[in-house]
Amino acid sequence: MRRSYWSTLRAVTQLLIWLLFITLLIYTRDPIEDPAPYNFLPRLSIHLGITSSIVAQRLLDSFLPALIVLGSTLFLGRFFCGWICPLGITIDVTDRIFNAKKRNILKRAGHTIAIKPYKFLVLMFSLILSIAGIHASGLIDPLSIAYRSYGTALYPYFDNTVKLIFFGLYYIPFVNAVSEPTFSILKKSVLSFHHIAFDGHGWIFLTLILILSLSVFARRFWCQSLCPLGALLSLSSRFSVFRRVVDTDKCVNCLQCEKECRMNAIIDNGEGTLEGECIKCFECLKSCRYDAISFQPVSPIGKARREDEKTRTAAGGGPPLSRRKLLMTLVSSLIAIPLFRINTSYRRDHAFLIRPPGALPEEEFLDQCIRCGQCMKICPTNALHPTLFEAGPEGLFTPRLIPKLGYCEKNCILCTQVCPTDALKKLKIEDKETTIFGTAFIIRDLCFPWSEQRNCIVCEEVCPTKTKAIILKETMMENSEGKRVSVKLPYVLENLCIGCGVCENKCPIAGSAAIRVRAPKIVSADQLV
Amino acid sequence: MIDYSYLFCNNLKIAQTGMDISYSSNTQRDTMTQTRRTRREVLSGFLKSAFGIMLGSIAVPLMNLFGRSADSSKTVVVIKGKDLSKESLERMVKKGFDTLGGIDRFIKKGMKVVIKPNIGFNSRPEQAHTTNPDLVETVARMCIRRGADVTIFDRPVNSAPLCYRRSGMIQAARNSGADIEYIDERKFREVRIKNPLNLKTLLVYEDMLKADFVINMPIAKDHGSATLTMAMKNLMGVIGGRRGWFHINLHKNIVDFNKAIPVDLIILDATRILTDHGPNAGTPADIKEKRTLVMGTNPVTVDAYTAGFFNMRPHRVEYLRLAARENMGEINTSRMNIIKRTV
Repeated sequence: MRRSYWSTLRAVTQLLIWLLFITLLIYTRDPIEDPAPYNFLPRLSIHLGITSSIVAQRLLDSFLPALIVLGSTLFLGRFFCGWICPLGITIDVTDRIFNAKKRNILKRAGHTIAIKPYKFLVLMFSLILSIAGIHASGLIDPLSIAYRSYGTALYPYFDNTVKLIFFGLYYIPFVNAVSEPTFSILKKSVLSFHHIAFDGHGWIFLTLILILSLSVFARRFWCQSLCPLGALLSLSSRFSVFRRVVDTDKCVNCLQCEKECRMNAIIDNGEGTLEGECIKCFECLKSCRYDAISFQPVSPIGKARREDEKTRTAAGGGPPLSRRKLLMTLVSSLIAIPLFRINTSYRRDHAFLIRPPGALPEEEFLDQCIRCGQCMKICPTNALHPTLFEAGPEGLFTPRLIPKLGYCEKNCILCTQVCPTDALKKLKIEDKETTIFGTAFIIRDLCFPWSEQRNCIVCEEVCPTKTKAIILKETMMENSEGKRVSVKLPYVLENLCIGCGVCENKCPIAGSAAIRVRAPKIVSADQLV
Repeated sequence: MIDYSYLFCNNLKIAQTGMDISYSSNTQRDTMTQTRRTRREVLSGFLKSAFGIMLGSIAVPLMNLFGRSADSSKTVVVIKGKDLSKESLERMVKKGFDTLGGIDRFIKKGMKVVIKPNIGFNSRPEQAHTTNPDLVETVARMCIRRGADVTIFDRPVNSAPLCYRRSGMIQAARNSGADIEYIDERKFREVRIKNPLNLKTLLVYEDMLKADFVINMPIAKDHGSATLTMAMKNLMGVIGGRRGWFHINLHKNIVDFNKAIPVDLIILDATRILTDHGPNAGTPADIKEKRTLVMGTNPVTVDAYTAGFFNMRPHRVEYLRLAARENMGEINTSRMNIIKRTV
């Protein structure tokens, strides 16, 4: 077998996984019957699984796939990072584009630099915060970041740009004979039917760019030094069965493999490996001209293992978490706890923080939402958007309904079906109409009938509840010219209003609607008699 | 569009016979007696057809001047069926066409036919928020059998793919072989309105204006601000711009829509009507199964008749009053030519 077989296989697999990821992202949309099977990406993260379970104070079974991934690392090492993780794939691509191979600040003459253990500190930070009941893990988890970035930033950018180009080509004669059919095909396939644009997309894009721009320092900087999931997987990978084995007879210590290794996992003059860092990219295998490298199953009680551990401690590799670093992490976590927890913005005014239908009560919702963005992406009316600080710092990138940008379609329960952690309870279509997630109110000074004595009544027309949560009362009023006119005045029947926001969305008043949806006036009727 | 001159040729056959005999003048040499009779017939045939054509050529421009105020526009064909099965609907539609003179009068081979149903909301057909899809399928199929190309579209209030699917229209189009398209926002054209009540210009969907034959297929419903929504209001689904704005001075705008957009035939769906909490809400108690179709060429007349299904006098609906004042159609049921049939 050629030396490059495995690395080529890996590259091809990465391409296929990326295509699968993109396909699932784009095609998990209306009119899909049940999107639940396709929400598995964030569920592969054991980091999310552990932190979410701690915060929710129960074992979340939706993260069972993550256990399988964790289990597999005991055999295959950290292959998930090298072959499957979409963020890893993206980083590999940007590394290649920006030729990051030339730079490697994470390795200085002989041993890997001390910054590498930071991923364990990030992991510790995340765990401590989750013990304190703060669910910040979704912000730094690579699978959440990947889905959120592609779903709320990259895909909408692609969609909007392509549409803009074809819209322009439509007006050019002759060219439009080719562009229009192409556009029709694209519209039915990869483009979104409805307009998609997410509030706060810039911040999510910025986060991704920051991570990718770390290429400036070294390849896979995030994976080596910051990724909390990588940290967890590296801990279990240390005991993996398939390991890199170097035939010392054949090896001439040319260090070609060490140069190729994108994770700086090769130590001890090319003969040793930090298994916890090795993502099985097989570039070393490809580059070794002396056929000295192979990947073989090694029994846990084997000599090789002992040797590895010897070399690790000698070279100062492995997770050298000095006591000082651990202490600093502890202290910064403790400082971070109040920073996250003190949520005055929510208590002060969360009138316009409307959660998606089926959302758990706010505290529990924040405990279970992993900020993956799947609900926002799947919403067929682009109604759900990431919050910035409206829900406090802990609520960053959790979903909220913004009626002016998109209303909640009746008969649609896609967001509740796709949520991988049941932060949005799965609703049945029949129940949707009685699930209250907001209440509308009319700003009479803006509303046409109320303030100008002119009939309008778009809100009543579009209200989808069975017996209309908005009623019209024909009233005699005096208009600004002193004339008495008959006006149909709208009133909201608050006990019937579910807060879907179609009234606000269709209200013709420019700037901001005259009928607004706010959070439900009364939190829970369950406890009332 | 429709040729109205037939109304003024009481016997179309006479004109035709006159023309036939004139071309077969070679036979006149065969029998002397036959020839004399034939010549008299030829002369009378010519005179009758000439008279008919003369009247027709004056009447058509006259009618265009005053809108559809000719007799045909006061005709309303009301067909009641046995049930809502596809067979029953087909019999109803066929009867309706036959009563109006046969479908071949309207639909010819190669025509571009546009069917404009109500696909406004994300509701199931049984909720009576959208036009009965089986009815649309039946009409589309009949047109396609005549050799026409049928396109179906509407500009819904809710999300278009959801509306098209849940209302059953996509399936109806697939079953009948018609094309069904989503509105392309780039294809609206500005139309100037003659003698408007409120709007100087209006953005109208291009495919509506370019079609050879337009069939408006509304469903009759109660409506909060418009009082009732039937054929005239259904045109809201082919206009561009922000829908909400047209609700200010809604009734005048509805009249202006109908001035701007020509429609060739209305097949109003009164199989199930929504009598309360319209246009998109209501419980089963609000839905009345009337198993009826109302067909006609004048939307004002069709709407005025249909108001009766809601126990309402047409004069109660402001846009009908305004349309009558503009001489766009007859709203007084006693002056209409109502033809009722049951199948």
